[in-house]
Amino acid sequence: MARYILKRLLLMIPVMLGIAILIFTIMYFCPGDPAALMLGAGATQVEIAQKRIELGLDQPYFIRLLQYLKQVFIDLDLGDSYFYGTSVAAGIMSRMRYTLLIALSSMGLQILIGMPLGIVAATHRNGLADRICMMIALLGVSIPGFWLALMMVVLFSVKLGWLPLYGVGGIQYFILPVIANSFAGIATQARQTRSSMLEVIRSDYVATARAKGLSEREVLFKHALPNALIPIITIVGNGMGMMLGGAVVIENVFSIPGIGSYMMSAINGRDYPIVLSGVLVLGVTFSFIMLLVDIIYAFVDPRIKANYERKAIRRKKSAA
Amino acid sequence: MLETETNKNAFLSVRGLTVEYTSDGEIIQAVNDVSFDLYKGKTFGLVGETGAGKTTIAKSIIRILPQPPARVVSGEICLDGQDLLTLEEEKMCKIRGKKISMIFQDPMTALNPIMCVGKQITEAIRKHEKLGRRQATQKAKEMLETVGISGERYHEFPHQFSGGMKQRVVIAMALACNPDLILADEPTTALDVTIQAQVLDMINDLKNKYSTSMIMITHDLGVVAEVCDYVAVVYAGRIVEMGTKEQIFTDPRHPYTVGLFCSLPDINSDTERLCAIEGLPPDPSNLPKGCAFNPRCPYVTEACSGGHEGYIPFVDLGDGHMCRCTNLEKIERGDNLEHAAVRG
Repeated sequence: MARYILKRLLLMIPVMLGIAILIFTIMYFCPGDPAALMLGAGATQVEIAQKRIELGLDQPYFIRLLQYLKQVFIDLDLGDSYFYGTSVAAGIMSRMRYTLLIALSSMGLQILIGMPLGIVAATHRNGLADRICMMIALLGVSIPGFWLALMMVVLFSVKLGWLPLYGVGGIQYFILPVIANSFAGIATQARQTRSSMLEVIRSDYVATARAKGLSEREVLFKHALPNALIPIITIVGNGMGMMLGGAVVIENVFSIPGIGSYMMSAINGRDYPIVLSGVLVLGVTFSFIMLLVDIIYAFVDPRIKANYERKAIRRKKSAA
Repeated sequence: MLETETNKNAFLSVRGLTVEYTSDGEIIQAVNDVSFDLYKGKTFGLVGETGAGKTTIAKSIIRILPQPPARVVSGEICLDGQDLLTLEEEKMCKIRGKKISMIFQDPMTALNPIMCVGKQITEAIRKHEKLGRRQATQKAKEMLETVGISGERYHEFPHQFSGGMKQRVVIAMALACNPDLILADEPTTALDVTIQAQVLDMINDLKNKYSTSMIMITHDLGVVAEVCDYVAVVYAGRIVEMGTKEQIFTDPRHPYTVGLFCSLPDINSDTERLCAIEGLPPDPSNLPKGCAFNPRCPYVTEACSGGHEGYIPFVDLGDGHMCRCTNLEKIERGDNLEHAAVRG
């Protein structure tokens, strides 16, 4: 098991390299010149050219790519922002907490609401409860998060004045962003939970559990749900990625100073170091979540655990 | 003739059990007016082809039919004088696993893949017996030993066992609380022949040891010969012939039963092809009137599609041997087997 985790951690290095190269290349081919944007409309061609040399933007693609990779992976330095001149690493660190707060609470909401909805729908299959739950889920997958965010702002902040319009502060500032960000996740979670529960409820071992004399509750929570968990956990992991991505949009709607709004303004200003590092950090976070999901699989399902361990044993044998 | 009232002397008495499934708005008659009695310590075989409704009968007795789509339309199932069909769910939970337990057909899927086998047995024990965790674990280990699995394998998971071993675990689970009645739903179908023999021997031994009654569901007449005392042949959800094992094996009277015996390979004769019953089982959503077997029956007459209230009543052939057929005079004893053999 430890070997498996180590292997997965090592595999993360090429993934990070890939992300870095990809996003660097995309930004390289993006039109727009950071030097011109920094100096403003009044700058002369000479001043702009000088700035480009200063930032190293006059170098060809491969030199710049290699310099960037060396800086990030060997010097372990995310560089400084073109505009603010401050360390990108520090900028990301100070903003990460808002993004993580929104993403993690959205995920919490997704699990706490989406899973029970799915279980209720599955146990009342084709009944009224099922119809209502699936109606909510249908709305959730169809409504885009940013639109929902705007509509909720109009209703709860502007018309009713219950919740603040934008910014950060106490918990009330995060209610609308988290709801807007998690609605689609709740819906996906409910649908996935329902379908995997339905599949498991029909299986023979659930009939065996009933035949043992367990109550319906015990059958559901001791036998059916644990077996239905694998696809449910997968959706939670994917959802976390969606939440991180969604946070970028939601932060802009609510003017929350997280990584999302940091990156958004950096993209508009072609502040390459921030964009590259921001994507890299989100990518690494997502990779870690996926690793965590795979490790949780092993604890939920002994067959998967055996599989991880068997591979390690086989490798040991062939090495010896 | 079976009485319409439940038999107070029998340990299990089933009367007029009728079960329907609803699928796409169509009603499928899975079990039609099934009645039988089972006495203490005896084994009752339900024989019939796939889809005849055998499993549905067993699942109705232990009440684990998924409702909907299934629906018990009418009938009475009396266990020790207690009608199971009208019992509250809570009380039924106390009977399942304790008084009645079930062995399922496919050991590969009958065990929870993510719970260790020992715990699955312990769960049944703790549900029904007032034992502490440690005592229950001890008992589960003893049960594993009883079915020939080392108690040390308590903490292993189903994927670490072979098919035959898994079926032993399922049997250990079913026997854990010394049930009075075991419903064995094709317990050997998914196993290969050598393992089948082992499992059957084990079931027989354990049954004798605990003097448990059993309903053995199978489509294998060899299994019936080995373990059953009484046999009922089920066709299209209805019992067509019923009697002691000897009566059914030496003197089968219903054309369907005769057909079943003729389709068995005979080790002493040199036949190239086995006799088959012509045609296919009827569509359960649209059963033929009268005797459901009449479209395939070589003796079919007009009377076969009539009968009292759309079905053929039982005829008592003496000593509890019953048969639903209108042509019993024609199908004389002994003549039936020859006739079918000639056809083949």
